[in-house]
Amino acid sequence: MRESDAWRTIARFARAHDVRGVLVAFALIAVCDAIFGSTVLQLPYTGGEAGVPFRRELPLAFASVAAASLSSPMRRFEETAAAAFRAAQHAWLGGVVTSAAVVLTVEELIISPPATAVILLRALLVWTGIALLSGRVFGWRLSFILPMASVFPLTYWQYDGQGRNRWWDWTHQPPMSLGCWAIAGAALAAGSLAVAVTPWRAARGRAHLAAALGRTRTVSPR
Amino acid sequence: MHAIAALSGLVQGYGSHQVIAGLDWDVPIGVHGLLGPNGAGKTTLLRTLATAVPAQGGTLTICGREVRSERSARSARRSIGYLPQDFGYYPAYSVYDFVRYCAWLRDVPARAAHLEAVRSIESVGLGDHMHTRMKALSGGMLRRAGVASAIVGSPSLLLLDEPTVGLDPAQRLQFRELIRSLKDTAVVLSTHLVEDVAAVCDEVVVMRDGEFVFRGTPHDLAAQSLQTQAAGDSPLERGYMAALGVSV
Amino acid sequence: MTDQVAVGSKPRWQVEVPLLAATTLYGLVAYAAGTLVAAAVTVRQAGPGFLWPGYLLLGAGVVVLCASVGHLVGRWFPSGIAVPVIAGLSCFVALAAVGGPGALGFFVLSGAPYITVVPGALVARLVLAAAVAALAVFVPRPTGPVFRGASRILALCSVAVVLLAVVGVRAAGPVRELRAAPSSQLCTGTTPKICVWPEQRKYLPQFEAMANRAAALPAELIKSPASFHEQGLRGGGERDGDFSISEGSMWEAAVGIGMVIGNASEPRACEGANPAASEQRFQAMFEIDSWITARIAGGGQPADRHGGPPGVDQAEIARLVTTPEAHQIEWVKQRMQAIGDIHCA
Repeated sequence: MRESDAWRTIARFARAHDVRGVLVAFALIAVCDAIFGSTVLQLPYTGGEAGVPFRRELPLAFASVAAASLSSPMRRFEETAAAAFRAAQHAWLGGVVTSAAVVLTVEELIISPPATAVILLRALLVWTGIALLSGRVFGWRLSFILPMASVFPLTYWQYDGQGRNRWWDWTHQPPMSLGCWAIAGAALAAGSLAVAVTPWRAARGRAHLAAALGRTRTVSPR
Repeated sequence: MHAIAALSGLVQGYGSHQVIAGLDWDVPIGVHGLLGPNGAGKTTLLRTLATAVPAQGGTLTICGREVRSERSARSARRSIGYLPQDFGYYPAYSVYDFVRYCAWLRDVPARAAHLEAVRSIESVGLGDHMHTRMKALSGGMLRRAGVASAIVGSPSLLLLDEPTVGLDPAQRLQFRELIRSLKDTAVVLSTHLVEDVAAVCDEVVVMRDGEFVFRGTPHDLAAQSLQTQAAGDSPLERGYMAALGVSV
Repeated sequence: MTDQVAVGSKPRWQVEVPLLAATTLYGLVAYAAGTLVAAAVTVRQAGPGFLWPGYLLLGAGVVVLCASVGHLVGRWFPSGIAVPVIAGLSCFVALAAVGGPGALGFFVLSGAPYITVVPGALVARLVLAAAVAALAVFVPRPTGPVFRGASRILALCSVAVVLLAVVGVRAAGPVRELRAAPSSQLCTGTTPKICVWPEQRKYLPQFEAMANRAAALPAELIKSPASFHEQGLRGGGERDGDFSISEGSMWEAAVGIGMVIGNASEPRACEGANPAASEQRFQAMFEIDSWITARIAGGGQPADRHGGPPGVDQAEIARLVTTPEAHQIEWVKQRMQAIGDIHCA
């Protein structure tokens, strides 16, 4: 492939996957981080109001946008694509998530302590995995549903009886918290699996499951 | 004749709802018309042939290779051109970009893709609209752009789901000419328009409730009407209605 | 549907209205589902009055407001990826920054029993939500065809109505106000008695038990007032000495009651002569208050509660209340003595 052809192919892929929307969304989130990141937002709470540091939740938006960028108006054609598309899809996702990580990290290193940058980078990884899972379940445009749902325990149940952040609170636990890194790894693994699942692989999985359960139904994918 | 696609005991459905039950069909080079009422299973059959969804049972063979995994499906897709019934598109694409993107999706070699795209677009009569944005196309032009995207790269198996919807009579004649001109290709044409079938198809298959209720030539289908008092304005329509078991 | 909408013979706003209505309906259905679940798990114990229509309407108004903002953003910037981010972030930031009770008052759940929604202010906010909805359907896209005739007038009117509604919200004042004290109070039949708002009737058995435990405190050391009241029950908003039930926690109520009993029982002490003396006094007072709290709560601080007076080991207090009464009395006497013995300034 000539170099210009390769770039045009990338450009066509990017346009079909709403690169303009991704860039606008990233810019907006970055601006919000810069302006409101330090603000402890007061949210409704039964006992009055609860303070939620805005910055801690912003990786969710980055992750949801990254996962949503897998949606495409060309999906009816893409679902019968050959091998190159899948490779490009993975590269695209990796590129978008990496871009989000770079924007987030650089911005946080400028305006926050390094530890905060690491925590938010970890949160980005966790939410990316969850967003990919959500996208697979509800459709890529609705990648934000499960990440949004995860905010509830993170903002209402994050303290234990001693007032300490629970081990799974990936938005507050220190950078070296092994539990939170394990969650990040598990979430990314689940997200990767969600991206890798195709109707064929799902059918094969169901066939294996049926075989393991001793059912005799014959299915095509073997 | 050598079958480009072959189905054996194909079972297909959605969850527990079975749409197709045990179909056998060899699709050799030539034009194969797929007729049937709404809900007969035509689109499901085409999606299965396009490897968009795996069969729930039976086997699918494309170009002599059984398709039974994601890997083999991706390999088979290089030989398949598919125009879905309701296809989406990126509205800001030009017709050329749209067809080039579809060519890339099917792994059409980059060195040939440009010429293939141009040839496909010109063959559907959109040569003057190569750089017109998709959102500016009329319904008929959109359909032709879709056909161009399906034939780009000269696939061995061409699956067209309602390709002539929205085309005016002249465009439909041009489309038939295009289909006739495709050599070494097995074309499966799902349509409600029996005139298209009569004009271009070597074989007609009538589906009802996920089963083939008729297979033969258009002439054979027309001959069905002689045996019953079926409704219709032409022998082929009456034959179609007779095949479905609908009498006056 | 884009093409069908574009070529439709109806005015554009007539097409937009059902689209926005559908989106809003999704939000309202989810909101109603949450409300119904809350009602279903509460109604058996709570009785009438537990569900406040004012807050529910305020919440519904927020749903309409945010759906309208999303609709407007979606029409102006047709990107399936950017629109949820723009709409979500702008609503989140706007509501969190100026939605609190001290500002525009769009928060839904922050209502203590002694606070109620002001009907006029609520209506002003609902009008604002409706006005933004009108704006979302009537105002044309910047790059779209210009509205003409009646559509143009409607678009201009919707902008004006939004501006007026914003002014109206400011003019209507805070959305919450102090609730008038009930004419007859709901109290336990115990001595001391504990009185709560009618909506809190489901807690009465627990308060009866708490009152009985308060009555069982050693009378030679502890002097309990004859009655305790939930915040706002005696009118005039929050009062020192009245307790609150935060998130249904009896522990929080016991803390409030314990402090009142502690204040009534502990010797009146002078200001310490030095910081160490003052610290000694406060430490003793905090420990006695914590002991009283644990006694009337029927045990130590539960695991889901945290915080408390500084320097007090709550686990130690929890162990203390399980020891023999004589040991506890001795422990309290030591601290009472310590309060009385400090060097005065």
